Amino acid sequence: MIVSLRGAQPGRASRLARLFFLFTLSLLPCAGFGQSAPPVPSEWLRLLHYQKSLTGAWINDAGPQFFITEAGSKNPQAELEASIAELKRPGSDFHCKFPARAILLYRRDRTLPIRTGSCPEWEGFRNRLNATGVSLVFSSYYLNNPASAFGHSFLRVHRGRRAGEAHKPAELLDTGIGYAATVTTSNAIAYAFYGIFGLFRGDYTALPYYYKVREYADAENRDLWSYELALSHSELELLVAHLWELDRAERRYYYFSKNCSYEILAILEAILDPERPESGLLARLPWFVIPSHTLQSLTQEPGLVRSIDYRPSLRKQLEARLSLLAPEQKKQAKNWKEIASAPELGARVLDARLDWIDFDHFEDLVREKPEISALKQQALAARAQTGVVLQEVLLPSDVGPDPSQGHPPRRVQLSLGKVTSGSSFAELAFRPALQDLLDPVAGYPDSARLEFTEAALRVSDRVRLQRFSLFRAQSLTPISLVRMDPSWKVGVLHELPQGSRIEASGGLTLPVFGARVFGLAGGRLGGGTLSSIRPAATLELGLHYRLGDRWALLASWLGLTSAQGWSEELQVSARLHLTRRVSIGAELRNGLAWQAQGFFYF
Amino acid sequence: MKGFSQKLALAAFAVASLSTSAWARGYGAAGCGLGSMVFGSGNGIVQVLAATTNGSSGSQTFGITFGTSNCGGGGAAPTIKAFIEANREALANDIARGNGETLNGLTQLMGCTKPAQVGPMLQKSYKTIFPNTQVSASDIETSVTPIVKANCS
Repeated sequence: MIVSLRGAQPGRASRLARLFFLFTLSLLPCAGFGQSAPPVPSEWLRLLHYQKSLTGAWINDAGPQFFITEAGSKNPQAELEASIAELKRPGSDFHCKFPARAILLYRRDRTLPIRTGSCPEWEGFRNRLNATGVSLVFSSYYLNNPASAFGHSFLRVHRGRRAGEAHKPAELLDTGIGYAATVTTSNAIAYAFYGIFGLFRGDYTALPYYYKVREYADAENRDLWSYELALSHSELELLVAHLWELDRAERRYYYFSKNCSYEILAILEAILDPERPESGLLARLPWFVIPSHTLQSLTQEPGLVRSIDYRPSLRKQLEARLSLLAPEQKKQAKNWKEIASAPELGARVLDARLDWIDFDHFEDLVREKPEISALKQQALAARAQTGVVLQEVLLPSDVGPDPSQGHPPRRVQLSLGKVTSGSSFAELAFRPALQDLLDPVAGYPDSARLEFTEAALRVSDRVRLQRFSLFRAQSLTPISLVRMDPSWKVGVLHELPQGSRIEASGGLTLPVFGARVFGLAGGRLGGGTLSSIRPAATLELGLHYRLGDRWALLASWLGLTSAQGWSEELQVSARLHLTRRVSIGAELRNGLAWQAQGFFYF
Repeated sequence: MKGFSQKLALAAFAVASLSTSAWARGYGAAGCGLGSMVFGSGNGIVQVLAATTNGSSGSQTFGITFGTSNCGGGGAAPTIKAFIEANREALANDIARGNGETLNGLTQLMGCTKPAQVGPMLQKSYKTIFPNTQVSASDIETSVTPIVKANCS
């Protein structure tokens, strides 16, 4: 090749092009240069979590322990051939270290010798799990808890009966398998940096499912949705063997892309039978992944989800218990700090009271804070004293459709409108995730906004960036008997004509005939340019209303006072949801004569 | 989790850097209770961020195959004591109510699949099982076991 380069008489431009071409070629894997190796089976690539780089080379960051050859992370073909050779070698323990690979290779080539040599560790793991099925569990959003902003997903491996047992073990005794970053810093700046650039190690962990239930449903008040997967016997066998192999992987955790959602789906894709009608779990994901992508990809896979189960959070359970009580009884359940009134209360009131104490003080109870433990003990003893055993099943009333039924997270918006000064405009906006107060509510929280990097380009006399928001979040949980949840709003954005700003405010939301009336007081820090950054105080009053799943309305007035004086912003928006993917809307605000909007979710 | 919180982290870094030193409360390797296994040690903004982005900070971590733990790591079925320790609050609720999912789980671990018979008997003995708020998981196991055995035939 060097010769051919010399032999030519290229001009500068074509020589550069040639060099570039050679450079690009050099990035391709060696197999690209004429050696006609047989193609590597796609199951092998999936099982070992290989990925294609931008240049088309195979890459894999699972670490040296995950391969048996040194070039294994870059060369799936060499790893495959070495693995087959190892399987054939008498005395090899390949099948103990990599049981899923051994199973896969044997299924592809029945002439390979079956290794049944004793693998006490691997067999011990398989017997302990005693898997009879698997579910993907999603712990849902509850925006007033920062831990649940986007939700979390993990696997629940169902435990089977042991010899002599008459019944399938309780779900609590199943095994939860999750993927999480192992945090190694106590500095928040370093934390953010490490998380974005993959400097934390990602670890798979297995713990009894009851820890997950206590953590998510009880301590963090997140509903748990279980999507039971219709795996064949051979898929389940491969899954368990694959989990064993993953313990050897050293992965790096990237918050945007290679996170819990992505890795759990990669595990499933690795073990799904290639004969399935469609197998594109990962192909459906965008470059950044949140659990709702995972759920939608999962439910789009034909025949993969067998059933969907719901486990209410402690909050939902308490609300369901309270719904059974008369107003006077609710008051008795609420005043659980008044010890004297306890003994004569009925079983249902005491049940609500117990949940209420847990709801208000879960962590205090776990930490055994004496005065809280004493209150709880007093209510427990009173409940036991009643001798009443209730058989009713508690079902919260407002469960709604499961989160996979929600609109897809990404949104494109096309708007046409006219400003009051006379000129018309067209606007195109894109938002990768997730939900505003007017988006379709099915599968999402009904009074929360959580938006990440929205950008809007407006075309009128010229093209300009009308709006760019880094993030905007808002929670309008109405105050209730259960808890005085604060309402709040935060945002970092750039918007014409005001310029850039950081805003934060807090207040309360009241439920009024099914609508939410809110008041928020706070501040803004912003200005047109860096030198003109000024603080301002804000007061916002508004109304948020959803009529069924179809209609949503938001009206707000915001007064703003700063060194420049007083100004007001008015906004009225309405939206009609036509399908799960398509909505239309209208918006009025200061300086805007009218605006019509179309939304598409994908 | 995910991107949003990352941005939140960046935007709030000034605030964050002021309040990240609260790692003093260590619970360490203190049994299988929720305190040590779930809540972990420390608090402050890094722990909030860790929870938000699915990081685990300070709590005992288990590899996927680490199976010798009595707490039920590595897919092992938990011991009775470990189950009681981790589910203490929910178990106390169920015993006081005479039934429930956590009570079912415990009786199954004890080899009994008739929780409907056992539940009311445990309820009657609530004050014996939980005489005070400091009763240990082993003591709970000791007092529950004969009641389950006696009522499960």
